[in-house]
Amino acid sequence: MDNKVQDHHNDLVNEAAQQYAQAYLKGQAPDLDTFLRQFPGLEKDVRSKIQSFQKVDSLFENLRHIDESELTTADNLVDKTVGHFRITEVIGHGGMGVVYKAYDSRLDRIVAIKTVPTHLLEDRATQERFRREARILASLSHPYIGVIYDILDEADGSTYLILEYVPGQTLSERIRDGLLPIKESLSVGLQIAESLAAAYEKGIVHRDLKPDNIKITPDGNTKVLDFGIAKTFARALAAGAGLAKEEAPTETVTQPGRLIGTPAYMSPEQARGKSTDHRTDIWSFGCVMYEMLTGKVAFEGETISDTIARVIERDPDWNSLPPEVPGNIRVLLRRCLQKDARDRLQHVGDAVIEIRETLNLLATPPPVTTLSISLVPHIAVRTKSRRIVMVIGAAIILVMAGIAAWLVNKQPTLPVSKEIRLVVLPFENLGSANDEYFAAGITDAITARLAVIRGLAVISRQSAMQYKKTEKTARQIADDLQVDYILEGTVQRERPSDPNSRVRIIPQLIKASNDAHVWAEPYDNDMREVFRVQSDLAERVAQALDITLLEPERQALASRPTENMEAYDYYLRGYDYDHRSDLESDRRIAIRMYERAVELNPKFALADAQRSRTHTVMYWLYYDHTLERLEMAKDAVDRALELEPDLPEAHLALGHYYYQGHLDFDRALEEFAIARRNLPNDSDLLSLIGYGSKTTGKIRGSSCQYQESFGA
Amino acid sequence: MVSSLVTQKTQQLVTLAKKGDESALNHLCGLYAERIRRIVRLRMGPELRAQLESMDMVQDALWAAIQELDDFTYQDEGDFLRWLSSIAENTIRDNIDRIHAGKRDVRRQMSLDSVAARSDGGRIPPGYPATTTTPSVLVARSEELDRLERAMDQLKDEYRQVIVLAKIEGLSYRQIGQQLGKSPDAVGMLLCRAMVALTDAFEAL
Repeated sequence: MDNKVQDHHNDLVNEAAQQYAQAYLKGQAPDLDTFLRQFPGLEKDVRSKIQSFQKVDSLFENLRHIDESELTTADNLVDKTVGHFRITEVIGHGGMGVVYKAYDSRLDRIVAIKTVPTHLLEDRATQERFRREARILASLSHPYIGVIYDILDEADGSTYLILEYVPGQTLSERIRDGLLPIKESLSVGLQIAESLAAAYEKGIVHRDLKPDNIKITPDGNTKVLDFGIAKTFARALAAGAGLAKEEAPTETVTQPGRLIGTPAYMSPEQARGKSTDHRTDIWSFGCVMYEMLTGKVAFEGETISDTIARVIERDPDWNSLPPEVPGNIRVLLRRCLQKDARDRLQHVGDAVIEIRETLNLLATPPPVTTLSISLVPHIAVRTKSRRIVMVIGAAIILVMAGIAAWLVNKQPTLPVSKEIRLVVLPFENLGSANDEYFAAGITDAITARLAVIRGLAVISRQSAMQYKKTEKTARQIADDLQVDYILEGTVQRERPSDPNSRVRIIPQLIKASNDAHVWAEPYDNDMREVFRVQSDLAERVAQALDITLLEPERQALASRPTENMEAYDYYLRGYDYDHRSDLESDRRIAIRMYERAVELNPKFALADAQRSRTHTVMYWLYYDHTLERLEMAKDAVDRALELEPDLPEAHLALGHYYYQGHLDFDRALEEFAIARRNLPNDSDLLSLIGYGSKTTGKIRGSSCQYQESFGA
Repeated sequence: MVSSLVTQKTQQLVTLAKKGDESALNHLCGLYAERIRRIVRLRMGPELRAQLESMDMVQDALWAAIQELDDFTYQDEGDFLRWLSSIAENTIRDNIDRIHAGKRDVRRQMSLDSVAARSDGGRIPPGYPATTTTPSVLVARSEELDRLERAMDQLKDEYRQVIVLAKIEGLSYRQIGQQLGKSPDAVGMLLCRAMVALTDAFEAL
């Protein structure tokens, strides 16, 4: 790299690092991997810069904050004897005091002894609380709950709790060691939920549920410890349905202004010092589940007040949930972490059922399909007590998944017309691994250009994608898809990640029946020529197939979406994010990329159209089911149509807007029809028209379109 | 996040130290001396720092600070650290001024005097920590902390200043903004630019 390029590169890396640093310093650091995806080609350097930054920042932290490990326990009881217990080691610092491991010489067993620092024991309220912990715990007996054996009052006024000694790691240690597999997270979550349900039966609330209070025993069982600050709320329970009513705070032994619980896992009502009930545990349970699944604390700030502010005001970063987390578990988490207890999951028993069913389902995996539709909440509709919104959401996804599965599984039907059927296989990227998006984008652009040509049936992108890096021969693919021709090729960008680099594209057209190479031609051009290459390529394919192009087709083929190659590069990146997964985070990044493209070239109608579609999807998939989101979709598509009234992609976007935003199928179909005039053979469009017509009862004439597209 | 256990413990130690408990005082020195030394060095910049090569000076200053504990009400850890380090820094600056004035040239002599001047009745602590138990975390990172100092030296004053205020003094963007006459947002931007510049300098060393 010459100096200028190197400087530019460094500037970009520093800009990215600053962006991250700004969020990080505010305590809002985004997930690093997700963040890095915004900078294709720069990931490695940006990561390393951010890591150095974090190291520098942590040095300041070391200076300012004393680590617990630096404290020596002055009031150490190790090697001393309390009653008939010989204390052997410190095993932890509980909510209020030190926890020791001890040997019970009378019953010949190992126990845990919990003590309260002497200066705290002067406080009667604390003593009261301590005794209450004993009484409550003693009444609980459950395989997933740590048991209390005894309470010990010594002559010198000290009080000790004698508890079941639970060996193993705490859940927070387990999480620190590495992310738990989803199944393990669910099974630990199930046991925690069961313990809470058992406690609830006795009218007991934990009130300080957190990973530090949960142990994983060596035989893999979960034990919830320290139902210590739980208060009996039998009275409230007896009042029956009056739970939601404003009950007078009954925490009489709590000093005013002193918080019970750990800020990061505290429910909003708890953090506000309001009265609480069993639903506070449901919140904390949600926090623990979130942490197991993401490896991150759901609400965490630099200071206690910052953490509390987050608990009260912010949503956790839902994008951090790994894509493999089943949809119903995502919904469960959202329900557990509703700020208002009245909107929250009401009974932890529901969580038990939900998680158990998910585990059962995971134990018997459904047959593999080529589409990644693992997010489908099959079981979401099984449980009865569902909110309507969820059912609708699930139903929509089910319908979509159904269509997708059908697309994949349906046996190919024979061609219904004499059209030549062609599939564009994903062009192989011969450039840098970071240019994967570029190759994919070029493939899509070529597919779209070919869809302009009448007499050519182009197989949908989705069907083609399954053959990415396939081992199958051209012949086998042709058999699968019932195509006559295959267009494949390679793409190589000379300078990785450079929007203005020279580009080498080598397409080749193969006749399926005899595997013959009908046409191949290397294009080696400046990026500015990329649209000319695309249209030339489409024309040459038509020529090779003896299709005569009509003038309007020729014109459509000659379109140049933008003259700004940097803008086009952002567009391609956005398009890639749009199609790589079902994740909300990818959609959001896609939108940002399109926005950047439009910023660079305000006349880039195609980017506006695509941006609109992604906004609509955000709404449709309930990622952001708000009117504001719909307005964004409308604004973007209006802009596109103002710039290019005939742009088929813009009409397609407007159709989607009516369809998915307003369930207005008639207007949607009108727009799809306009789009089709210029994109006669876009199979996704055909399937939409077919499906839309079916929905509105306009079956007539649509079955043909349906087959045309789904036959692929 | 500040550990509540640490807060609890420090608070206890401060209370005991105020009552004259020597072991608590020693304990506090053990926890804070190296920390304060590092902080003061970072705040002072290269010129003054050159004269601060001895740990004794820091211990003296820390001791002086602890003598003034009576005036201090423990609120939180950051507050306490800020208070300790500013007293320590002032003491050290005073002492350096004296060295420059040529009035004293035996440092030990000077430091005991300065302690005497500050403490009520000039009580010299019997359990004076000859060697402090330096916190393991800081020892483990001492090389990196040296590097951090050198990296800080390379920054322009504006950057150094905002880093000191935010990352060492622990002030909020709003508080810093009031000092510098900037909006909190502008402080945030300045700080992140400064931190990335510091990262660059740190990496280059």
